[in-house]
Amino acid sequence: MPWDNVLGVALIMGLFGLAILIVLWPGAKHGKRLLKRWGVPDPDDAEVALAVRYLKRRRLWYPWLFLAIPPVLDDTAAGTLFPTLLLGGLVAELLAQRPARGPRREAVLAPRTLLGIVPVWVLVLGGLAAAGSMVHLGLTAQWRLLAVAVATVLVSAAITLLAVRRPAVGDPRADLALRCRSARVAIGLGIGACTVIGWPTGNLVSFLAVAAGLAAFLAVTAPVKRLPAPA
Amino acid sequence: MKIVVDTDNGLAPWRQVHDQVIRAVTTGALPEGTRLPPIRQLARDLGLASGTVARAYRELEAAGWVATARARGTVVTVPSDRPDRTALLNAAAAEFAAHARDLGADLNTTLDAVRAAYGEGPTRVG
Repeated sequence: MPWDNVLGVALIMGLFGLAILIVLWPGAKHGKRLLKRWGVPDPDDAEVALAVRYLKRRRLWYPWLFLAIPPVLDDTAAGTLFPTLLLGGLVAELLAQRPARGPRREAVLAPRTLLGIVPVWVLVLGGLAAAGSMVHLGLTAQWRLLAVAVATVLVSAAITLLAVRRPAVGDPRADLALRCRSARVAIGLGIGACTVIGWPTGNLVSFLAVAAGLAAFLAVTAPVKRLPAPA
Repeated sequence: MKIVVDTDNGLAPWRQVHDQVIRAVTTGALPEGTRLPPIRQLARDLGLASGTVARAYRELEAAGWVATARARGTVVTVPSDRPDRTALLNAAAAEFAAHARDLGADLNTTLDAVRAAYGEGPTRVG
């Protein structure tokens, strides 16, 4: 492709990404709604600011990932959604690992564990979806899709563990709500992606697996009305 | 139960962690048997080196305020010679009185400052 065409495509894609970014860019009302949905009924201004920063850290990457992934994966836009959300979440959690700065730092004197943030049944569903799709792909010798499923599981697990690991910021209840959301959405996306990748054929077993995967995805990513009790 | 470290206040961070844990145990905010966060978690949350928090935990363990077991992690314990609240209050008052004398404040000014800190009256600088 000639260089002027490449530059033209890049320019159009860049403008398109910018337009998506403007539409997705979160404000205070988005932050407030997010916290309310994830178990913080009456968030104060500092908590809302924390939630907005949390959303910005993710949404900043979505347009560029959404535009960059199809050529890399040789995929259509529809199949790009899961990788976009998962990679956006991964980048955001990696950025959130930076240590606290400033002279005054706060922490909660309680251990933070994976099971304190994600219930066992969510982990079990995630494990079943991952194992089911990987076994199916292995048995049907679909190695490329198996590799994609393994990568999806690894990214999903990494986001979940990073959400537990990252340093505490702001008010403990908002911090816990955002950790819960990160972990559960990552596991839910992992379930959804594994289901889509692992059961591509149109027979009855695939249909049942996809229906079960969809139900699990909805159950896991549904916001929790009550936060887990502190450890 | 929150812990706050201010790296600008002149007191070593490990000492701030150490003192706040003791205060929390003494006031009952951290009951006996409560698990403390792992060293690395607390160090990450406070933006400190692991060695700094490890030193605080080591000193607490040496004084009998916490015990570390492989399976349960670091757990709050009650030292046999734990000073009671009155003794701790007296020690804090003695320390504060010494600071007030160094600043040249008389007893009334010092008491006014204490009342103001309690939210009971204006501060009078003498």
